[in-house]
Amino acid sequence: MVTRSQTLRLAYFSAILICSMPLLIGLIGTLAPAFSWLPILDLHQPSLASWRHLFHEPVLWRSISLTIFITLCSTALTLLFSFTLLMRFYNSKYWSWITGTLSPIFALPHVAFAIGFTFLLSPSGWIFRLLHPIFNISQAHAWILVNDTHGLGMSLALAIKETPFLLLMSIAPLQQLNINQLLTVGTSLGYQPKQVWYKIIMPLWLSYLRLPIAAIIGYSLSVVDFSLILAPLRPAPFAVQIWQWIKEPNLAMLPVAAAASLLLLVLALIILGGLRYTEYLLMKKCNTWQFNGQRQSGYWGKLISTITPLFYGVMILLPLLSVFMLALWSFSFRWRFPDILPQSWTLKFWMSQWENLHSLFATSMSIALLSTFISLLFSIICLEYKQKNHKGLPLIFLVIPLVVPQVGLLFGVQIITLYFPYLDPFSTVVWGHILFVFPYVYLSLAPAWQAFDQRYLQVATSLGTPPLKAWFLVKLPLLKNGLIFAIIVGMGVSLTQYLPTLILGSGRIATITTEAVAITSGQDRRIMAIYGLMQALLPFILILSSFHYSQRVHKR
Amino acid sequence: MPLILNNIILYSPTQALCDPINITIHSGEIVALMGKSGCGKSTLLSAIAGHLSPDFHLQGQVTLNSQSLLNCPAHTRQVGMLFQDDLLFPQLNIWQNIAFGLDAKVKGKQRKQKAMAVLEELDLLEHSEKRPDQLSGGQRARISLMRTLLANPKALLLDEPFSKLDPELRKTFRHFVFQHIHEAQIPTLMVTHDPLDIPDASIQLDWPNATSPSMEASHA
Amino acid sequence: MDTIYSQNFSHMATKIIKGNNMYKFVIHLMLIGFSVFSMPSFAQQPPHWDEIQEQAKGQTVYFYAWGGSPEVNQYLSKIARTIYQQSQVTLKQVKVADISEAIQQLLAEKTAGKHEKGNVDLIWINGKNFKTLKDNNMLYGPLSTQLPNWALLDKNLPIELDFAKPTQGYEAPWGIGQLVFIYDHQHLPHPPLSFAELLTYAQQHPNKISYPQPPEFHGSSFLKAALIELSHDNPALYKPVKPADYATITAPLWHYLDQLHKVAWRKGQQFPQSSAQTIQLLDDGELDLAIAFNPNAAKTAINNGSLPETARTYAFKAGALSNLHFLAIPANSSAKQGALVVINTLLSPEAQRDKANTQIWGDPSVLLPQTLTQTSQPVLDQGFQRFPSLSELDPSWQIALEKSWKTRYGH
Repeated sequence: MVTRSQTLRLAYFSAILICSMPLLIGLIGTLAPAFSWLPILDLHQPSLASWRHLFHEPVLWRSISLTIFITLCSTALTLLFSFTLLMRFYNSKYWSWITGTLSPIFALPHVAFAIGFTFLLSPSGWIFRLLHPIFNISQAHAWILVNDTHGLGMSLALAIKETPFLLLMSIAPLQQLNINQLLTVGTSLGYQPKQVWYKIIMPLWLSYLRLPIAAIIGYSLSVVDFSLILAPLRPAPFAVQIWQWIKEPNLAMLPVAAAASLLLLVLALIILGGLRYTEYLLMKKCNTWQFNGQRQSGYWGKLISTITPLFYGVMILLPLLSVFMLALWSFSFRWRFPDILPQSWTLKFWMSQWENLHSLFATSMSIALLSTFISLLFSIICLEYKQKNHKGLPLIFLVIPLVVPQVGLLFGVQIITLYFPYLDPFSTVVWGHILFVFPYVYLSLAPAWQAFDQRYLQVATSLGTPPLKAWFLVKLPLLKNGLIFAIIVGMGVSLTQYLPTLILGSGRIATITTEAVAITSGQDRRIMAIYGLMQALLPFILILSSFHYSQRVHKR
Repeated sequence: MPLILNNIILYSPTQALCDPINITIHSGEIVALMGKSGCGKSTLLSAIAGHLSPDFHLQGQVTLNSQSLLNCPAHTRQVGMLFQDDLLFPQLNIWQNIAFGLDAKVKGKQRKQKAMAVLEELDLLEHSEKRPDQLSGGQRARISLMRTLLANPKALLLDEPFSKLDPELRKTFRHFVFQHIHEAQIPTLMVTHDPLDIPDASIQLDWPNATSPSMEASHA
Repeated sequence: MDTIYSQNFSHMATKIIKGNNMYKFVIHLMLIGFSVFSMPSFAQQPPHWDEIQEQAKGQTVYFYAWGGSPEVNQYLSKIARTIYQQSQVTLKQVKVADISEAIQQLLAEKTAGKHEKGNVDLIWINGKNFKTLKDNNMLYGPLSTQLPNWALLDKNLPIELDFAKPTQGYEAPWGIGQLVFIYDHQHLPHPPLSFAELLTYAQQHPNKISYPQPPEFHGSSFLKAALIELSHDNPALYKPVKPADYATITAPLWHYLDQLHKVAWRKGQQFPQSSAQTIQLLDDGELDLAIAFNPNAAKTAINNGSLPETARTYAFKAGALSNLHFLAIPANSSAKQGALVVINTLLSPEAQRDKANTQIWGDPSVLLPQTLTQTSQPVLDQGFQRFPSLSELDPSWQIALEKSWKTRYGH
């Protein structure tokens, strides 16, 4: 007779298998073609041919250096914004207000924000229209921040999107560090509070934030949809270039794309390793600056603290204005440069897109619901197993989907699916979403499981309730808040996925996000605005309510 | 270089927490503030150091060397503080923690030399490269005091600094602290709830009725 | 229908055999002939069309079409409703940024051995993409014999030639494309009329002229049109590329572009990504000329609010690079009957008339002109124009030009 624990063990390993299979498949599916082994394309001889081809591609080095620049620039800006905001406002009277505004900004999906960003900051964008009469700048001298050659616009937009994330991730570690006490000690030794922040708190803060920073770096390196809208396209960042090679009708480029994906992964590892080493160097090895006794800020320190409120303004205004722009454009008929407001309005575009939006909404929601609930089931199985056997899910299953470039992983999966030509696109897309939704659902659910007092269950069983019934009647209701939070987070993640839907659905599955990115190539601002708003709306509501629920979870 | 508290009243959002305090602490003198836990003593110390929580309000004047403290930012007040916890920075090793307290004018290799000299005095030289969590509570407490003193404070605030140590250690550390305060000739205000903490020949104040110094404990 | 005619004929035949009225015979013959040829909307149905319509009911047709034009998307969603009402076929447009994505999918499916239940049921192509599919035997057809509305096509148009290559009826013409320019006549009263004049204009007004980045097809077409003018319409352009002559023939083009890029928008460091973006930039005042493949682009844009009322479409003096664009059915489609029904409906007079309507899309019709006037609804102001045409180059030239552009300017 199969015992409950044996069933659980079976379920646990099945869950791991199903969730990790894409990772394994992705790896194989990319490794093999990279070395020119792809029987389906008549490539039976492993070789380095695709690598040779890759290194002879003229765009390669410029694309890679562009990617590195954007990643480092955006990460540096994010760290700068986050740390200076913490320094200036942590535990000040504005702090609760600031943390309150972080969640909505974080909840704004990146594609919607990117579209709004172009409306604001292109040379004919709204901000230029506001400034142009005041400062009398001609359009030819306007700044270029959208698709600019060095990717500065994209770096800024990425930083704005990532700063709230980092700030939110900082809250718990900072509480643990007992900032007030550190500040008191530091100032009692004569150090200006800012200096205490730099010398004492920053090294500790960085050590707590290694995983979130790694996630940010992984994202900047590999994001495709955001890049298609904001990054330069000549050459394009490396992930976009890989995506273009994947889509090329010349199938001989597929092994090259595979090799490039591996190269991107290596690049990610190098950058992560390099940054970790830099952190080590600055914080540990060459740390004389930490105890050199300098108690006052220098010129740069003073400058930075003066403009910190400006950082906050930028961080909150740009997303807000982006949404405002989306709304305005969606209803406008004629809105020519340099008018500040549309000349004429219309509902025509909303009406023409309504039907399409309905079916996209239905597809997006059904994928989100399915992938989230299956991920939830797997997460519950894994957490129950962990509770019973004290063996948590190996961290690698959680970290890889968060940090490894999506484009390479999915490419591998797609190659393998070529061997299974009769797979239903919808199911394949749901499976792909599960891969990326599962880590988030698991991480959201884990605290609730940890907080659960097992004695409730013990009491129930001692009263005669069979274990399974007790689980459903006692444990599940008590974990309700955690479950709802996890569902909301999971759905939010699924709704904003782009590459998994596109690659695994073979283009036949259209969600609001894929449509929003496709529409952007059409450059009709009214339609772009409508899809941007629609893409923003649902995850926004979901993620906002997730924070509400998470507070309820943590209040217990 | 006296530390003078003039008509100090600490207010919580709802009420005054004490009667007006008037006291002058001379160089090398230790004044002990006695009272039950949780009635505001530590808050008073925070106020003097410059970290009063916005919920509280301090009325009155505090002067150090004829300079009003309450108008200055916390880091310029030159008021050292010692807590129950040693609060050595975990990411720095022992000698680096000590060096942190040194003035910026001491540069480069000299900083390490001075820090090592301090450690030698404490007979802790062999632990110089270790992290704080590798040392015992007593050792850490002593290093913490030395760090505070190295910053050349003009006044010292002690917030129940001995309460986390076990009785044996307490005695030796107490003696250590008072000896150094006497050598450095710094006015000190100490908050404690243990009468044994109060050194001989010192003034004891009772909270909240702290208008006039009680001379009882001083003539032990 | 057949039975009525055959009844008619046998009835008449009986009468002739019975009677001897030669005059009446001739009249009857004329009447029959007239009734047959004057009712094009009831064209004689090819065999099995009823069967095809029956099989098509309930099918879903995934139509891979370029999604970069809101007007096209709008038209297609409108026509999808009609198609569903008339024939219970669900038309789903899969918006691709470039149709080469669909080609890649089809090639991948073929290599993987997926000979049925393919993802692509209907595809909007022409030129080099059609060549790829046809050369690899990946198309279903011929369509010419199966579609009733094929009879309505305007035979004056080269409906069986795609970029000078015979289609053998494997793709159905859908509309006409002409490479044209759009300008704002209030701002620019006398636009340049040739590539040479364009360069002069750009040099006098730097940062105001550009073209979409190849291999986006508007950009590629810009290159082709420029090459025609700069090589003085070299006949070699209409034949497959000969590597030996390629460099000499294209040299003037690269020289021209080198000069143009120096004074182009953003100094040629960045290029617009699509025709729609050039229209947007024209409206924003960043560009002085936009490029489109629709001879009625300006009118449609004005109706859509994308351009001011003063926008106009025009072609260079030498003519506009013209081609037909087509619809084709991949061989491994799982909804071939549905696709046939869709194509047939798209070739119907009502659908072609709506397509030509500048309030919706403005793409010229490929049908006989008189068929459009016979629809039940009143003729709306189509006001569409067609410019003198320049023929398309051999598809191999486009592939070669795109490759060279990428190498020279693509990074």
